Amino acid sequence: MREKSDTAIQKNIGKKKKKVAAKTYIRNNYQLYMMLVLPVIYLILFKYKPMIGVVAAFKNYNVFRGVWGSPWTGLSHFKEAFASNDFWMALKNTLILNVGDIIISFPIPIILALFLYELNSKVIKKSTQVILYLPYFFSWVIIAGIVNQLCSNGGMINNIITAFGGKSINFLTVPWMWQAVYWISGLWQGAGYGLIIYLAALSGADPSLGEAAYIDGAGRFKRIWYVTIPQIKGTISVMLIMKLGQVVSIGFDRPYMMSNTLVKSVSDVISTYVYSVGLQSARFDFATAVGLFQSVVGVLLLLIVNAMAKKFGEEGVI
Amino acid sequence: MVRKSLLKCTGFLLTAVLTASMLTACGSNTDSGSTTATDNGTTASNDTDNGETQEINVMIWDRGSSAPGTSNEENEMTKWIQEQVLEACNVKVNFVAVPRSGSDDKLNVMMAGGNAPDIVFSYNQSIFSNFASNGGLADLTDAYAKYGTDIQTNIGNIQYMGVVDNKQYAIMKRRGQQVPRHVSYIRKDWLDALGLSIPKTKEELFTVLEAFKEKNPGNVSDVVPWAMGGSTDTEKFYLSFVGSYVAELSEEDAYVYAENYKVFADGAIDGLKKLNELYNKGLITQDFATDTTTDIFKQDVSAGNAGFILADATEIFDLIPTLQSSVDGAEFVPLNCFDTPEGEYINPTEPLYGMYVMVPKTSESKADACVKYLNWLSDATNAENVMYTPEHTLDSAGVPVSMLQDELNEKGYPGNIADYNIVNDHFSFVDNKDSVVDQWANTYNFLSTDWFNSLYTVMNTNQYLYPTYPVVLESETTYGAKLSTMAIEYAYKLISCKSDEFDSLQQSEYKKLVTAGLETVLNDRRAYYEQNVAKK
Amino acid sequence: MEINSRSSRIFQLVSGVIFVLICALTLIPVLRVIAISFSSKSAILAGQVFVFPVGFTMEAYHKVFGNINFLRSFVYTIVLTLGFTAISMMMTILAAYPLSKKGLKGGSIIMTLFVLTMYFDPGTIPTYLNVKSFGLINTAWSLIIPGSLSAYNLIIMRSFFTSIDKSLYESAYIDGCSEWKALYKIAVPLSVPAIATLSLFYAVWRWNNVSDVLYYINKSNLYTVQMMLKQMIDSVKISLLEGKTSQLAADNIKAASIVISMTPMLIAYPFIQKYFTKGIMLGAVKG
Repeated sequence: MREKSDTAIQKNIGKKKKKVAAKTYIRNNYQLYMMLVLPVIYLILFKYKPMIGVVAAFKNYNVFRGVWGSPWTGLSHFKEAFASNDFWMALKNTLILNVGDIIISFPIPIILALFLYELNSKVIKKSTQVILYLPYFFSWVIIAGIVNQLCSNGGMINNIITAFGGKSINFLTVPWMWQAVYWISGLWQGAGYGLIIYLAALSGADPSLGEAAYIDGAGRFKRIWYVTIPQIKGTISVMLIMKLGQVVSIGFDRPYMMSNTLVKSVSDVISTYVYSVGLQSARFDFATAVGLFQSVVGVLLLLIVNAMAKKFGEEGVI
Repeated sequence: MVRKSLLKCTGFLLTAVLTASMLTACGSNTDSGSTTATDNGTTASNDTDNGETQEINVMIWDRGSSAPGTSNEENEMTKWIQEQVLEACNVKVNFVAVPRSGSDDKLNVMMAGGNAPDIVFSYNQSIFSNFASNGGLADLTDAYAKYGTDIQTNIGNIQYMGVVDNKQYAIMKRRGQQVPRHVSYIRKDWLDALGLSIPKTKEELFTVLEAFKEKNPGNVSDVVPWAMGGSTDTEKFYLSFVGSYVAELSEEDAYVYAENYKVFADGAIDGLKKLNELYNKGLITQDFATDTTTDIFKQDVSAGNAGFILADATEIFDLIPTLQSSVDGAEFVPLNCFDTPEGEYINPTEPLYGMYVMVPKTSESKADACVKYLNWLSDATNAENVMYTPEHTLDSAGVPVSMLQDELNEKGYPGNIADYNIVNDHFSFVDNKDSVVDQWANTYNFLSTDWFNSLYTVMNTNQYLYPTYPVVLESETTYGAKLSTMAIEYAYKLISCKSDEFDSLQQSEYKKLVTAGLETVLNDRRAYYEQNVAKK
Repeated sequence: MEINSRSSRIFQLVSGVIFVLICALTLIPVLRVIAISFSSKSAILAGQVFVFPVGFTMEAYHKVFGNINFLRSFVYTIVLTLGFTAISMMMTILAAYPLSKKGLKGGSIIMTLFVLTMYFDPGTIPTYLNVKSFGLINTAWSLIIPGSLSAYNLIIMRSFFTSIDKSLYESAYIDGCSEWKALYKIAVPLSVPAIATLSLFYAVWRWNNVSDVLYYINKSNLYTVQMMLKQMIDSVKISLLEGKTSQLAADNIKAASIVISMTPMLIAYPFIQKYFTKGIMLGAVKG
């Protein structure tokens, strides 16, 4: 509601300006374009110029002849990927692991940030931020090592289970349990990163609104729901759009390091597929082709989600 | 709104791509045309015979072990090499450091960028074959014939591996001491406690494993008669055992089922089935397949829970001090007990050749100078001075004494001097039992000379070399990497499944392997042998 | 300010306890790594270390910091990280501010182009050739310029600028304020928490990223700290391939390298945290 009236005001002012001071307006915009000069040069030279490399997806790429010197092969790399069962299984697993990640790791940092924001104790507040951020520095090799130690037959978790008379469980060999371990370790590693973003968003929010609600006698949870959340809604929506847009992409290290022989049916994902079929044998063209497929799907998803967000009156990323 | 901006966006993108493509198009000419000379600021002349000094850049692995204030490019070692080579061959050698981890990736990128050093190397046969067949390497045939005489005399027997299409594209590095890939070890103190002797056959081993399980001679909380790990990049935990169920192979079959393909040879399934039986009896680490980092395997060994292991030949040297400190009197001894159907042992070793030492196409003009340098390095005396520093000493048996990193650094050498020795590791003493045992015993003083004597005997019993040919078949390039991981997974799954599921699982997993190209590769290998080796 | 009711106190207590528990759970593996970095090799191998060091030793740190090359690289990496962060933040703000203006013509196209870069990866070799074509190979610039604007951070920054109350700008424009001045006087001060956060993200990325150092740098005196550490921990597999006696990657050095990678953040964080306190910024600007 507030936002809408804001844009209305802005439009009104904009109209007035156009009439009254068109010159000033142009001059102001000119300055905005000046600001964009460096970033756009960067964008072209360092992001779009090397993008020619994507052509390798349609070539039989020979590194010594370069992208242009290599012969065309049309869609053969794509056909190879799409004809393989492994590819589709990897795609399915990628989606499952990513969606699970979003369900678990997306809301929790928001909840943590909201509660931490409400907390009075400065000591807990400050130390929580630092502590939850620490796992972000752990590489997946290390995390995989820790997880193996914790979850193995003689590991800490099973020691606790057996101490209470339970039977030890091998978490890492049962596919669904492995997935749970995968998601939880992702939460452990990434929660602090998200927390900081939302805390920064909350710090930018206007506390006087919350205080006003206090005086109105609104309860704490009501206040969080009706006053605090709407203030960081924009950030939440942007973060969610970006997450959903990347639901077909997956990093290499995490599934590769955490996986083991017995859970391959759920842990083989696109990045590990590309690694085993393409990169290990230096087939950069094949790897590029699969990467291109991921990019196109990712962009389509992004556009859909972005359009939906805008329909609901949220801020999009584009 | 969105659609409109997307349309505009496509337009903009097109322009951007076009502009950029023009930029790269111009750039690519210079990329492929220019040699490394400009990049590295060297000014070498192409003419060798007029006495002008040639300058070459040689790749050197960096392991972060340089002495304070020095680097892998400049230190006492490089200074010495520069002086010597300048005098001996009139070639000035500069070094370009490449981080050891990630070296192959970086090599790919540098080769593509046309700014690789003049001498580069890799252990990876596919990288070599990929470079050679795509025109990325300089042909060394003439230079090798002309300036490579010492290489020919010293290590000429392995140079066939560097030939593609009758052209010498790489100089092969000769490995040093010939050791088996994997060696088995057993807890001698446990055997003694049970009054058993070291098993000599698989049957005896099974009895011992059962006894370890039942009687727990070490009195440990969690006894693991046979400890295994679950890393998917090594076959060490099972291959020697499974291989011993395969009857002696003809040269053709030995090539077809070489190394990691042996798990598919006739009879191998019996070995896997036996392991499955042992696993289900609780004689093998129960959750080995999840121990992908092998941390738990190492813990079991060094905390004294493991009775029998298969490991990389000398890996155990690192684990024994910990074991000795955690368990009094604990002793792992090497043994041969995997008897083949012929009633013998078989110890497959690494091939004699190691790295592929190559000269990029962009450095073609320096091929002569490069071979001169490599030739100089292949000389045993020079190699010894590089490997052990020019100021090395000999022990009573005439074996060079290796210095530890601290000592090396103190004298201004990097910790990885051995990496400068890129052609010939095959010193005469590595074939002499006493010298090798002596050197081991000096370096690892927590084990006795007797212990090393028996290790040497175990290692040198019936060493076996798989036949190798200088070719990477196309199907191997396409499927090889994936297949070797899948083969390990195949074995792990079969070892750890329920006994009654073994046969059906074996069939379904084998089918997966066939889909992944297994039979194509095996057939291609057979066809290659029949056409290229058998006919000659 | 706060009204102290009973329910409020209960809330404070309960959520306080929950946060302490969450922190404890998060910390266990972290403490474990710290403990390993101070433990003796044999204790680590035998799996005796849990969250307290066993056989306390500073060996790993001696080995790392005892080397003057490492210390020099440490200083160099700090300078590099600071420079990178400053340049990246400048680029990000310069891009995010105009793009946060709804009426800007062409803005959404440029934004889309930035967003697309998150999805399309040209691959290692084309990227390398591009960096090479600018002659940046073997210079510190190759570690600064190519990564100096992350689309992800740009989106976050832009979303913060968008959330600034428009009326603040309008009054400024009416006073004849230029866009540069509006950016400098209104947008930046109001977004300090975001700027602090993103600076942290940039700094952390630069401090810990090694893949570009591996590809773009051939001189060991331009290696960053993490590259040096990566060298030291060099995996076991490698020595096996070379047919040498394996030197077990020292787990304590591995652990120490994680501790070292966390330290700059631990030092910088309290300074950044200042800006997270409720309302401090708005109060300052308004007052």
